[in-house]
Amino acid sequence: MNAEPMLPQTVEMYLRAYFFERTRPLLLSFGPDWTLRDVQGDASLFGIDVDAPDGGLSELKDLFLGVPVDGDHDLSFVELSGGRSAHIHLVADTDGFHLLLLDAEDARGRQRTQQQLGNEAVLAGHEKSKAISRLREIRSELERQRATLEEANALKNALIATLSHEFRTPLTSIFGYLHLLDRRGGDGAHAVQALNAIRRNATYLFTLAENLLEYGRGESGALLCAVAIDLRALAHDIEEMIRPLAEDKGLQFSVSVDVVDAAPALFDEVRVRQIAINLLSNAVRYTARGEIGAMLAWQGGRLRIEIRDTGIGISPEFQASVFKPFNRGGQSGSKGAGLGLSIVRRLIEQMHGTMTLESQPGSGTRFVIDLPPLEPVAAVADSRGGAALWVHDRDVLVVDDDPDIAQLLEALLLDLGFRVRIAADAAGAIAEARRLPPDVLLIDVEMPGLSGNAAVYQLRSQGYQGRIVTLSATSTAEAREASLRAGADHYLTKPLNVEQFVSVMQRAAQPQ
Amino acid sequence: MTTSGNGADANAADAAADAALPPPEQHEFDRLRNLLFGDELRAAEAARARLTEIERQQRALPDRLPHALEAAGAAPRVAHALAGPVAHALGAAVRENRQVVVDTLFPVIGPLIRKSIAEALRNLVADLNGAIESSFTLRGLKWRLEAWRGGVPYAQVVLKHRLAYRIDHVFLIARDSGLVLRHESAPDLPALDADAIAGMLTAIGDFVGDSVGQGGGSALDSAQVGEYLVWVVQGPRANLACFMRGVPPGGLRSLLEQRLEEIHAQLGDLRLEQAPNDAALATAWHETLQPMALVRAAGIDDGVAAAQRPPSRWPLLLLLLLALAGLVAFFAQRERWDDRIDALRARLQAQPGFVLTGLDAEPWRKVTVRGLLDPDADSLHGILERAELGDAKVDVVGTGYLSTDDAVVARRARRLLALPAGVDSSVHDGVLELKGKAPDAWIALARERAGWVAGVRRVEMAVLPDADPVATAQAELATLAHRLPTLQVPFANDALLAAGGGSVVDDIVDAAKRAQALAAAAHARIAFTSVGSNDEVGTDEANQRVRAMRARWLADTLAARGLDGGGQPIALGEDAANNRRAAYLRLDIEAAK
Amino acid sequence: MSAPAFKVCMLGDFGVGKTSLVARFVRSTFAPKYLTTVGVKVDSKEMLSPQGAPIKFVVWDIAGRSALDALGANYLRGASALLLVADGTREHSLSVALNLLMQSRTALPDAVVALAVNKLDLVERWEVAPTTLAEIRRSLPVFETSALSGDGVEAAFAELATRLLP
Repeated sequence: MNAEPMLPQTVEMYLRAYFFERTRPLLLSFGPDWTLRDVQGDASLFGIDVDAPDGGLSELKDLFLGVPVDGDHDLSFVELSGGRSAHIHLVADTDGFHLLLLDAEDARGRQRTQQQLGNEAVLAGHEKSKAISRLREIRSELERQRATLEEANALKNALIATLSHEFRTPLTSIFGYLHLLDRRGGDGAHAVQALNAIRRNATYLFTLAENLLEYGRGESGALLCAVAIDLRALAHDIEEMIRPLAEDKGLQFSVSVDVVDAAPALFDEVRVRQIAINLLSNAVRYTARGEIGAMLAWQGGRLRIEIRDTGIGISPEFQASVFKPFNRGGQSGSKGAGLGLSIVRRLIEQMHGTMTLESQPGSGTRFVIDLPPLEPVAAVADSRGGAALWVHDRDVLVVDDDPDIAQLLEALLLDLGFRVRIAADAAGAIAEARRLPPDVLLIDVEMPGLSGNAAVYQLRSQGYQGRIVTLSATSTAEAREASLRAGADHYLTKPLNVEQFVSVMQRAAQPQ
Repeated sequence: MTTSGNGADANAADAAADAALPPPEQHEFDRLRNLLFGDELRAAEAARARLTEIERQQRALPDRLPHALEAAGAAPRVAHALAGPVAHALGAAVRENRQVVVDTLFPVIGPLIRKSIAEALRNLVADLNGAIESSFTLRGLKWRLEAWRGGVPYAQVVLKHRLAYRIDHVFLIARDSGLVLRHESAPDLPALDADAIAGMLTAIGDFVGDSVGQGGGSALDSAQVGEYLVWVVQGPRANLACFMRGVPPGGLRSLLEQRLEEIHAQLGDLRLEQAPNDAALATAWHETLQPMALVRAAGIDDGVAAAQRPPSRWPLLLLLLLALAGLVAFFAQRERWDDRIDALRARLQAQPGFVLTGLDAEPWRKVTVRGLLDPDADSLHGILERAELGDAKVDVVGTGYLSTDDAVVARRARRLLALPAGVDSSVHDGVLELKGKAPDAWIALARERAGWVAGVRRVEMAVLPDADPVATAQAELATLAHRLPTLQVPFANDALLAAGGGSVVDDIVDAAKRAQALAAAAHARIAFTSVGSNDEVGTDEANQRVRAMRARWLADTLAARGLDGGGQPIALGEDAANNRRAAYLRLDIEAAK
Repeated sequence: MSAPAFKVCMLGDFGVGKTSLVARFVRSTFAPKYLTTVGVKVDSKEMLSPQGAPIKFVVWDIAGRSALDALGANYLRGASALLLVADGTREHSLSVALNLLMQSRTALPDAVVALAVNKLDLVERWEVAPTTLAEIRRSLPVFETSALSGDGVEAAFAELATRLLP
């Protein structure tokens, strides 16, 4: 027992009152043999009936069974038959002993509360871990779904790329022949008209294919290629392309160019062209009568393109969704895949420009696009301006299974001054090349049976040293690498860019 | 604005996924997905619905299945389809529920097993028939030798030789490269890619030799799959591979080895690559490697044909008959012997004066009769003779005893009582009956002694005294007088006594003495005359002399024997009528008063 | 048996496509499983040499391996020609093929040898450069083959035939 503090009387009395109030003690004094001598306190509080013959106290007796009554003993938190909890203290005395019962209900209650809290905490913990695992499940599910979507997306891209390639090859033919026809000159207005019609549609197809490809390529973000645009030339091109379409429908068409800034306009010409053509072709499509106008302005360091028409217009409700891909606008005229405008918007975004749309259903539509210039980048030298150089005394072996392409190439090469031989497949190419090695071997990669690359490889592995140019519809870097690894010297893609073609062939024909 | 296609709302997950991406793209994904996969989604939905439907039907399957099967009836398709699963199920059942399967099959197994055993036995009998048949041939003996040398049971050798086999293909293969040098097939087989097969066989041989032969130069000898068998005989430059079916005899392998050696000899120095082109070799090999040729040369008849000839049964039957006959004979003999022994036993047991205690009989060899024999009993020899015991040695071991059998007692009585001629005796049940006439002296004696005869319980004397002893004596004397001349002493020559004469003389002496004894009682006077006689050869004078000689001899002999003529010497007489070389005594009786 | 018969062994690394290479060329008697179980599959092919003479090849397709073990050496016995097969898309298979050639030379010093570089239809993925093959061509006949299209196979065997027949 540690030293008890000496407390002032008031404090002691307070303590005592507090104690009694809290514990409501009941004191039962017994003789040594459990004869009840004295009761102090409220026995009924504890549910003990001291007057009952043996009822109330037998319980207490049982509690202390085996316990010697000559020493102090404590029992805490005893639940009595009345339901009440009590601390029972046995205090030995000189003759007999005392049982002191102290109310423990409060403490009991607290204890119970604590237990309950503890249980609830455990439950909560369970819930939490369940929730966490559920969340994890959801997350992995989401992951899975996202992977699926990504895959679908990739597939879609591949699909679109393939489609676009399918377009490109015939288009190569078409443009190529158009070019030739142009150079030869047509005889008579009908021929000219026919050519224009062909050009128109080919252009349209080409645009469509480009759009598809662009769309598919969209997420990866193709590089912007900054070129100094000759706006006037661009306007002229556009006009050439669109005027026939407009005239077909009896629409007025005008293009105006306003070059104010002297600095060269550095933009990705292809994309600008795409934007203009998309919007204009839309305008043509959706205008039944009236006029279509395009305006290009380079001023204040910004390129401004304005396309207006007097067509059916777009109602406000649709204006938001009209830029969504594959939207064909639930209006008349459901031609087209509905990609154009969404591509336009993306292109503008890529070039960090802005576009506004004004439209009144029934009276017309006006698109206004504002583009900042691109950073100048080392531009790829376009051999556009290079004069066609004739080659002298060179022969070329053309290998392509598609007779149209083969003829086209032949024509082009003859134009350039080559002597031309043709082989139709890889095996024939190898045999012919070995029989009489040409100065240049021009071989299409996509051929049935063995690919052109295989033929190139075989020739190289047999020690063939001549120049080899491969022609492919796949424009990816890997395809290019593969072709070069197989032994090609140059790599061209379809559809043919004629100028590029000419330049490459000239380079290949140079003596080594 | 509506998009073409379905208007499916994005679900929560999509929204969440899309929330990760910038807003405009999300719509595009959505739209693209819907557009691209709209059909698929719809199809998936439909499929899901179908699946649910199918599952529902699946759950109802156990109810529908019995109906379906019943409807199918005896369609072979159902049976075919079930064949595989049932077989597997049966296998699983055997593995997991063995007892159930056993119990189920139990009623069937018995008949099955019996049937197959019967079948096997039939085959075995057929083979054994053949074996036995061949036992009688030179080939059979050869097989016996083979069996003995090989330490293998003869039957096995027989079966091995008689079992059918056939050769399908024979390949001569270059050893290293596995290329085919020559190839022969049985005529009715489809063509095959000989090179590939030979090559593969060589490769397999290499493989086997390499993996299990420990590289010690051992190589593939034979391979067997079911009834198909390949034998490979190794040679230094080429191997011989023989594709067969059935169980070939061991002799075939040595034949193949022999052929291979011949082939090597034929190859000589020729390079293996050139061998196929050599025409002479090709023909030679074509001859020797033909499957039929090999089969014949292996020394056995074409297995197939032999099996078709029904084996003849008569040797077996003959043997069986002989065996049967032998058995039958043996048992019949045995039966006879037993019968005779039984008869003998019965007779012995019935024999009065003999008690049979034991009869040991070794069939046809020895019979030992043990018993108690009364000295007065009849001799057993007669019975034993009549028993017809063949050459069996018969021993009679008799111990003496006294029988109370009536017959024996009668004989005893007769012996002991010395019955006179006029008395008849018989014994019945121990009662001795005496009837007849006899002298008083005898009657008194008999009365005294008859009861003492063993086995006699009572005596019934019905013997009348002889009323007239004189008449009796006279009668007897007369009898004697008739008798004596019959007792003729035989002579061989002159007065030389023949064999047996001595006993006749004794009889004569007895009778004469009896007669002398009776003479007084009979009140008669007797006189003896010795009469000699001879057969009629010779002159009268000589005969007379001989007769007198013989008479004299007899008289002298009798006198020497104490027989006098009653005070008178024996007269001599002769009998010319008696045509015998003999002498006899004649009794003359004079009647007294 | 008028056409002279020659044993040809095909050797190469795992997965170079030996079996598919030959599949269309030979008359197939045995199932492919022998390749994995016994380690060899034997087939035959009759053809005319470029000179017009009939010839029969017994082709031993030996299961892919990177080095020659005892069993493989066994299979080589008596072979008149070796066809090594490599995979153009795997540079390593080429060195394996040449390695196998070296090892086989000890057992078959006189055999006629040709190298087939397979999977020409995947030429875009080839790791083997054409100049490498050009180099090898100086000592061995080399053929770029494609099991898919059948290119090169006949040529390879035709070359073997030319060299085997006198």
